[in-house]
Amino acid sequence: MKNHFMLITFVATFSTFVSSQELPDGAEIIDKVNQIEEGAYVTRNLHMKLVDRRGKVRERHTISMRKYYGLDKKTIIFYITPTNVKDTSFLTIDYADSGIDDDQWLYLPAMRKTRRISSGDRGDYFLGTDFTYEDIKKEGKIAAEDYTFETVNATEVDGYDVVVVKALPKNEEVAEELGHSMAELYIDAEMFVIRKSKYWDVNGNDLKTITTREISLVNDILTRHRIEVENHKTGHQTTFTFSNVDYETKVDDSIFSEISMKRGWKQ
Amino acid sequence: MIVFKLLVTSAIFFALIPGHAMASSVDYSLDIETAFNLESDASSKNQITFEPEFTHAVGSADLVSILRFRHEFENMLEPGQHRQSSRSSLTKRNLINSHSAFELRELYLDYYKDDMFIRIGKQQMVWGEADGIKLLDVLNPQSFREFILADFNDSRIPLWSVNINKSINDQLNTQFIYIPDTTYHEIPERGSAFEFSSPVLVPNVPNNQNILTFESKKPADVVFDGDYGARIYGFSNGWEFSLNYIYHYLDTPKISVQESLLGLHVISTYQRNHTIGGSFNFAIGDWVVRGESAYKTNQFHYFEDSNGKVGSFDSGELSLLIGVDFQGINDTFVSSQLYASRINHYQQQIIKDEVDYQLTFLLERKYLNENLIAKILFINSLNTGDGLVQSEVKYLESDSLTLTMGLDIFHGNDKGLYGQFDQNDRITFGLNYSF
Repeated sequence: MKNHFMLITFVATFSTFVSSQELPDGAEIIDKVNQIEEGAYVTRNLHMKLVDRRGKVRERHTISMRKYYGLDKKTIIFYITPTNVKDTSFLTIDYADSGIDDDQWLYLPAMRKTRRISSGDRGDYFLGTDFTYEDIKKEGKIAAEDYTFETVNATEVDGYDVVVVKALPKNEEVAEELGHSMAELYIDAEMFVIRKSKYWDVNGNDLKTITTREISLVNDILTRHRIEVENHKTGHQTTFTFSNVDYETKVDDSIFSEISMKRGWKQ
Repeated sequence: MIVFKLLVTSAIFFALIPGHAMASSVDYSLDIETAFNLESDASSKNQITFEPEFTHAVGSADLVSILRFRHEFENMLEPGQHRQSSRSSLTKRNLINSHSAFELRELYLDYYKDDMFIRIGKQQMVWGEADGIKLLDVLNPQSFREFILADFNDSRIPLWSVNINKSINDQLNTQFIYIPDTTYHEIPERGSAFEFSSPVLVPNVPNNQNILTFESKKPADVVFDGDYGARIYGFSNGWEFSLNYIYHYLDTPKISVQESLLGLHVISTYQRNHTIGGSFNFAIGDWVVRGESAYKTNQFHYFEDSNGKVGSFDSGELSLLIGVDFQGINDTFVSSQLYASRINHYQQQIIKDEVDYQLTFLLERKYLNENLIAKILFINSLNTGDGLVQSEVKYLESDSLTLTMGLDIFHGNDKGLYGQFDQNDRITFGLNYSF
């Protein structure tokens, strides 16, 4: 009996040793994640569902456009419903150079003018949701320059094989800016899409979990259709559902402008 | 004005020619607002406002109309049958009775093609970077029924205008504005809760003096009395900038008082003016810096001589503003502005100081995923020491229902711009239902 137990333990340990030897390097996996094709431009509807700890639901319907200019990109989000946020819009220019701050504007219909807002704090939550400005900007990718990566193990998420990569912010300043001290990324072993990510706050406490539930090809581009966030500190949840995703219709440059924000989204 | 109205109507009709695909949306907003004077405990405001907004899309054009129905139960803000003498005939509200009014708030057609955007009709237009202080934000007049306490979106008076925006390239744009609508600031009449009494704003006329005649000389020609403006604006290397010019009438009437043995003859006129200026902003880290300047060539200023005689003096006036916004703390917005104005060719009898300074400070904090917003705003005249403290808590109970509670506290010398309302401190409650 004792010999059987020792044999089983030896095989399990050896298997684990062999498996960890086979797991790719964390930085290499992240590199593959960041190389996923996004399309030169995209137009899509976005439904936001926000649920507080008591179960109260708020919903927002928006339409957004994104377009790459080289490695830089512009994104605009127009709020369509409900009435109390209708015609609010958010415009951001994200620069690939990490040394250049992103430029952001918010148009509030009640003010009748656009307001320049600072982009310094990437870890701030985006307009009442549980996604941060960094989450919105990166769209499922990771700023590799902010972290060190280590492959931890392999497991499953929603029936898909994933590789777990631990991401540690390179220094305290980056951790404070991002709002978390550690992240665990559950990356699909075949498609290299992040299916789940868990975050711990700067004090090491559970912060939030982001799970991508629906992924499919649209115009040959891997597209996330439903993303859920659970904030463990506040009990608040956010679900983003993307629909009518269109990578083929060219997005006009003029949509990313003050004029466009003041006009609002008109069909 | 009639020709202009026909042109607008024709443009709208053309856009609505049958056969074009049409999409519509309707939104409604209901506001119930109450205020109690802290000095007297009496209700100083009790009103209900209903605003439906219609949007019709036809091809490349969009037609937007916003209506307003308002009923004021206490009738303190605009008591009696107000004459609306500052409004043009096409911008006057339809007074149902002394408490209720119906208004076509906005009606405009948006046309957007390639690099040009045209908005024609009754609309609001906003220039400038300043919050709450108006240097370049002079395109639309304002209703001062609640002084500056109401949101600008509510107090700004939309005007019949032509607004053309054209892109020159991806960094530079131009804007041209023509406003034939000769509507100006709505100044509260005698007996209103927020009637002006500061000598900076109105000549000091004792209440026991008999006013024999009141004559209002208001511009009315849509071409020769219209306002014409232009702007170049853009964004480059992280800087946003704007150069502005407008040839317009000052929205505040100049009051001249002529004394006779039997009483006073009061004449109200409007003054032509050129306003030239610009604005900028840039962001660095957690900070945004904003600046704005405006030079008015023909501003008027009231004086009082040693014999107590009041009059006005015309001269240019330069205004400058610098503001900083800080968003380095989660869910917190901090903003401060320093404003300064200087009167050219100053004379000692002028009531307003040669150089006038004002300081504002705003602190806003959000809670519960931005469903609870608390803010406090301080506005202070550094010259006279008077000011206003405005605080508000807003709770978004649901996507349709918003509840607000606020405090408006005036302080300082009763001759000051803000101190004149020292007896008008109030607590406010509001409910907004939108669907």
